[in-house]
Amino acid sequence: MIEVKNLYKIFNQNKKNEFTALENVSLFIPKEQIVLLKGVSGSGKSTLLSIISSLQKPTSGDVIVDGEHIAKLPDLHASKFRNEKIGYVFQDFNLINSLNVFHNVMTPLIVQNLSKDEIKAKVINALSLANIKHKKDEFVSNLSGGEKQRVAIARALVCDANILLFDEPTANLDKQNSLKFLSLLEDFKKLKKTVIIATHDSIFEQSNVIFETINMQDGKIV
Amino acid sequence: MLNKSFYSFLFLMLFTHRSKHFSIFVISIILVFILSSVMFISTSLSKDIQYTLNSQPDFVVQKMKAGEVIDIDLSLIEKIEQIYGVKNVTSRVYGKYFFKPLKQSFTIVGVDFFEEQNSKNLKTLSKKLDMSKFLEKEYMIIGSGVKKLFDKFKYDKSYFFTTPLGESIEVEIYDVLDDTTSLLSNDMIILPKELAKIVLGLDEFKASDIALNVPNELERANAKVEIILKDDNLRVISKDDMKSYYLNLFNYKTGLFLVLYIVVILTFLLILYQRYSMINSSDKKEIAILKAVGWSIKDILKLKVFENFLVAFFSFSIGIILSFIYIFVAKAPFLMQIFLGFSNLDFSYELTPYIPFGSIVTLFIFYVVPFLCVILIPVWKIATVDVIKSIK
Repeated sequence: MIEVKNLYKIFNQNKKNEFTALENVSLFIPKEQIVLLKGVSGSGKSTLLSIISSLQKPTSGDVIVDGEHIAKLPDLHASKFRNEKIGYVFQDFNLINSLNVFHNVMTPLIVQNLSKDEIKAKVINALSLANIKHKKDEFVSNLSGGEKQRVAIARALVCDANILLFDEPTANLDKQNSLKFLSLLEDFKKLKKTVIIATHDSIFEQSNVIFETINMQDGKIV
Repeated sequence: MLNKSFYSFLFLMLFTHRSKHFSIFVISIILVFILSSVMFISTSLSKDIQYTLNSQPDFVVQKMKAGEVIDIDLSLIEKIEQIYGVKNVTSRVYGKYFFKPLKQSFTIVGVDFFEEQNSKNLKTLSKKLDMSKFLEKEYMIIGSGVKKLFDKFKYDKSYFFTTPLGESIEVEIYDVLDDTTSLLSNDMIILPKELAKIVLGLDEFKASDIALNVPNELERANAKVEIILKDDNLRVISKDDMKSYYLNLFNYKTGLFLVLYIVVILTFLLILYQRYSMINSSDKKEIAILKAVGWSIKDILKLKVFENFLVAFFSFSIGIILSFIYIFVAKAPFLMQIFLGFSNLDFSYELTPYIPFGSIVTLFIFYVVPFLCVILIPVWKIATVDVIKSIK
């Protein structure tokens, strides 16, 4: 369950170039549901996702995830929360190019004090779920856009996080790969994940697993 | 977080960043190599000098005239022997002998082999010395630098000395002094005292100086004053004065190197800091990605500390090992000339390996700590910056 209450995010506050990215945003996302955040570029979708994942702190307001107030968490707790509860897939995937697929997916597990065998088992499982296991020894710089996205999804799934956040997941994919992504949503539904997808792509209208579409404009929910 | 998988990941990152670390690794090795070479050579020389000077007399008395050392009357020996606490008063004969073929000078030392102290010292210097055989005829014992020059000019068995009166005296070589003593004996020729006087043109009742011992340390200062009171023109040099003279000579050169090193290391740290401050976008992105997947700032700093500590540690260790090999195995070519340049002959001196662990630990701390600091400050700055900004 994700609850956002009266959220504000103002960049460069009290400066000439002050900019309000989010203005009085409140929303409720029930557990194990797939929700679409729709809006044009600059409407505040990505900022909202980064605050829900505790990558950024709001100017004011509150975010409650599974009963935990995460808006003002100090770095150590915020990173633990992110590591255990959130799987974030960026628009550009943000993989470490100098590492191979296996090592990229392994990165969130290094801070979890697990044994080598446990890490290996979890990584292989995540790679299988994302259907990219066959490329595990490949360097990510050699992969296609769709394959990179699968690696990023495997990385998001590897810690068994309940919440998956996708920022413009189809922006860098061709139509065929975008449709493949839609079919993945059904798998997430089966895995009982709470999923938020920030997008302006209309392809998601074809999906029948979307619980709700929230429209955003100029930092507000409309 | 310090589990096996962390270390595996650490080595993985170290391996993937190897090209980035390579230049720093090489520069670090060179810097540590230079400083530890200077440290090894100066410590070893200081130890050897102390060891060699320990066998020297407690005091040497010289006669001065117009600020120059002149020959001293042997009659003074009796007067000095009367001073309370003074023992083993002996006259010494030494001086420079000009070797015409190379236009260089040897140091001739005349020794009375019947004196107990001299005989003991010589036996320490020359292990082959058989006193009765040595005294059979006119022999000499030479330093390793002299031996080299004699060999070069085919004086492999004997040498013809020319006295100031123009006479020629042939003296056979009995033995060559060991390389380990050549810090002080490299250009030395040891002759029987009377023969040395003839070669150097010294009067029968004169000597170059007088050596003496004062076994009781508390009486040394008083003995020194008493000797000076015998004659205003006497100069009394203590063993400690000699030690300080040589040690100061090497410390002064070590100091020069140290100042140069400090300048170089500060420049290096500055470059390192600038380099990490201008960390490229892929490095920034890497740190931001680790943060995004749940690494805390502490975890990221730990990774970077270990990564750079390994670079610093291995470059430091390799630098130390290379300098040890350079100084004690390769006999410090070039650096030896700088430190022992006061000798008029080529040195074949063998430094005694000595590892100053205290200095190495101090050097390690003063090298690694600033090394890690200049890297960690910019990394910490990046790690605390907004992840979204860094990723973009």
